[in-house]
Amino acid sequence: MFATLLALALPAAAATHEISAEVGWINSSDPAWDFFSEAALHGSYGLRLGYAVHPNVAIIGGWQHAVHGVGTSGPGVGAASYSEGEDDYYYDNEDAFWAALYTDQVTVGAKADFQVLTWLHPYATVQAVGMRGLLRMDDDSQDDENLTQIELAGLTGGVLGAVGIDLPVPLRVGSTVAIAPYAEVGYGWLAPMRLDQVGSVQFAGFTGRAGVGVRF
Amino acid sequence: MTRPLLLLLLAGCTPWELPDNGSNYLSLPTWDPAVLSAADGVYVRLPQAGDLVRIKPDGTYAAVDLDGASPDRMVLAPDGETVLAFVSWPTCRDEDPAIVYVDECEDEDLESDSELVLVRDGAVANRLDVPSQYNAFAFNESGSLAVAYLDFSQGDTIDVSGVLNLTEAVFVDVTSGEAHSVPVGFAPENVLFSADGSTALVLSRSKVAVVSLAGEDAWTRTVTFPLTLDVDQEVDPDNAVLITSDDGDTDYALVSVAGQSELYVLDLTNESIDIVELDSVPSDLAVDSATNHTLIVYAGRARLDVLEHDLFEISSVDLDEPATRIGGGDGRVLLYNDGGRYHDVYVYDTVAETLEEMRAENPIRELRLTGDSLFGVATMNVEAGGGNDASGFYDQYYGLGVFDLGDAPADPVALLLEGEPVGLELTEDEGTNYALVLMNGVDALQKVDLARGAATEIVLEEPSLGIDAMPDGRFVVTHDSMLGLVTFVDASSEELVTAAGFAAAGLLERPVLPRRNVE
Repeated sequence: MFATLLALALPAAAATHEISAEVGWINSSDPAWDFFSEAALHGSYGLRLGYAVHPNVAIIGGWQHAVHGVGTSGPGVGAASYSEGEDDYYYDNEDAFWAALYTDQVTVGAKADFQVLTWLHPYATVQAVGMRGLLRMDDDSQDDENLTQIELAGLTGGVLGAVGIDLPVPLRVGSTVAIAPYAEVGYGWLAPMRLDQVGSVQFAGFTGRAGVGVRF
Repeated sequence: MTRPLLLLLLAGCTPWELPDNGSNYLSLPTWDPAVLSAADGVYVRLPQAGDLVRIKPDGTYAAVDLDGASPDRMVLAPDGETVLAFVSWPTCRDEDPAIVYVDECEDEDLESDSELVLVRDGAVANRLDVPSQYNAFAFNESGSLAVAYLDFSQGDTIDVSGVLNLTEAVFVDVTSGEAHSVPVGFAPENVLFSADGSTALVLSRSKVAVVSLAGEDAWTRTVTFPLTLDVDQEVDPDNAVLITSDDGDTDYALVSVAGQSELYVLDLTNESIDIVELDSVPSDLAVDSATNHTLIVYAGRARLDVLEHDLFEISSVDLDEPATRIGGGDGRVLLYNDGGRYHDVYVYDTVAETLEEMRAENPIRELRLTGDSLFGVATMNVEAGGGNDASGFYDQYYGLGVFDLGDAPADPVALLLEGEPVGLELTEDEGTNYALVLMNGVDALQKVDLARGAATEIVLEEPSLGIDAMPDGRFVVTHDSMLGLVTFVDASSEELVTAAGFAAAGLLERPVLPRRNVE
C-alpha cells in the first residue's frame, strides 16, 4: 500500500521488468540462532524478478536460499560425567553436536520507484515473506547413518519494508535494456519458526539486499 | 551434472554433511543419563533446556509440563509410578510486564523459587511447598510415604539460600500429595519405618526420634532417644535395623554409631536404651527373617556375630577374612568384603548354622542377589598382581563372579570381562536367572545364564553408559550421545526399541519467566 501510494505521487516513470541475482541478510537476535551462526545475521542468496504494472510500480517476487550451521560443544554425558552418589556432574569430558538450518524464502510485493537521474532510481518496497526451514542436528559427524540424526521442518511468514536505489546502466545509448546494480535496506519481521519439540527460531530486525540484474 | 547439483542446493535435498561455520558452547549437559525407569516410561532431566521428558517404551517422547520450572533432582517412588522431583523456576523482582524472557531481567533482580512435584503418567499430579534443599528421600515399604531429609554426605548439593532448617524432615504422602514438616533433631540422615507402617524412626545427630504416622498424634515426634547425655559430644548414627516380633510389632531398633563399637538397643515399647558392647566397629547389620536374629560383620575383624533378640546375647562365627557387607537375610546370607583387599565370600546358613567359604578371583566392587536369593552376582575390579598363572591373568581384567547360594551349591563361576562393567541388572525368565552386564566401550549387552555361567550377546547400536530396570521387567540402556539415546531391551525376546534425539527437546526455546501473574 505504502509503495503504491508513493508511486502514484511520483513524477518520472522508472519501473521496468527485471531479473536479478542478489544476496541479502536479515537480523536475528534470538538466542536460538546461536546454534546456527556466530553472527546475528541470516545471510542468503537468490533471485529477484520484477514485472512493471505501472510507470512507477512493479510487482516483484524473489527466492532466497541459505544454509547456516555451527558446532555446539558442552559437558558430555559420557562415562564418569555424573555421579549418582554425589548427585552432581563432573565436567571433565566434553562432547559436541552440529546443527544446521536450511532456509528458503519466497517474497512477493510491490516496488515503487522514480527516476532522479537516468542512472539513479530510488525506490521503496513492501513485501510479504514466506520461509520454510529445515533443521538438521547430528552428534556423530563420522557416521552418516547414526541414530541421533534429527531432521525437522518448519514454516513461518512475515513482512519486510525497504528503501533502495537502482543504478541502471544501458547496454548502449538509447537501449531499453540496462544492467542495474541495486542495494536496499529496511526492516523485516518474521513470526517464530516452530521446529517441533526442539523449539523455535525467529528472524526480525534490520534487513538488506544487494544485487545486479537486467532491466528491460 | 549441473542439474543435480542445483537440486541438491534446495533444502530437503542437501547432503547430510552439516556445515560447521563456527562454534557455540553450552554450560550444562543436554541430558542426565541417571534416568528414572517408571512403569509408564523413562523420565530424563534435560539440564540445558530445563525440561523433563518422558520417553515411552515405543520410543516416542514428550516434555512433561512443569509450568515453566526445571527439574533439579528427582527420585522414583517404590510404586514405580510416581516421580518426586524438586523443581525450580526463575523469578524477576522487576514486575515490569514488558519483561517476558529471563534474559530481559537484570541479573540483580533474578531470583528463583522451588517446589516439590509428584509426576505420574507424564503429568504433574501434585505440587508441594517443600524446600528444595532436601537432597535425599526415604520411602516406606509400600512406597506410599516419602521422607525428604538432608544428606550431608552429599553436602555440595545442598543449596543454602535464605534460611535452612537443619532439624526438620518433611513427610510426604505420595498418594494424596500432603506434606508435613516434623522436627526430628539436628541433621537427620537415615529413616526407618516400622513393619506396620505406624511409626518412623529418624536417626539424627546424637538422637533418634520416633515419629507417629497414624492416629491423633500423626506427624508428631512422640519419643526421642538420646544417644549421649553430653551435648558437647557428637554421636552420628551409622547403621540401623528394626526388630519385629512374631506378632508383627516393631519392638526394638539396633543402632550402630560411626567409629564406635557400641550397639544401641532402643526399646520402642518401654522407651529405654540399652547398650551391647561389640568387639569392634560394625560395618554392616542385617536381620535374618528365618531366625529373627541380627547379623553383624566388621571391617577390622574376621568374624560374624549373631545377636539374638531375647537377651541380646552374641554368638560368634570365625571367618578367615573380614567381611564388610551382608547380602540377603532369609535363612542363607552372603558375607563379602567390598573394601578392595579381601577375596573371601561366605554363605552362612542361619538355621543350620553352617558356613561355606568361597573365593572371588578379584576384589568385589558390587554384589547383588537374585530375586529368589539363589545366586549372588558380583562385579570385580582389576587387581594389582601378576604372575603367569591363571590368577595372575585374571588380575588384569574386570570380572563377573557368580556365587551359588542354593542348598547344593555349585562352584563359583569367574567370568572375565572385556571392559569395565558400567551396569549390572538381574532378571529371571521362565525359571532361569540371568545377569545383564554392560561394559564400557562395548556395543553389546551380555546376558549371562547364572546356572550355566554361559553368556550370550545382545548387540546394541552404540556403546552404553548404564542400565536400569523398568518395573515391567524391561531394561533401559543409556548411550553416550549428546542429543540423547536410550535403548529399551526386552531381555526375554531380545527385542530392542531405540529412542533418539530427545535431548534436543526445548534446546532452541528462549527461557521465559514463568508464573509472572501467579500470587
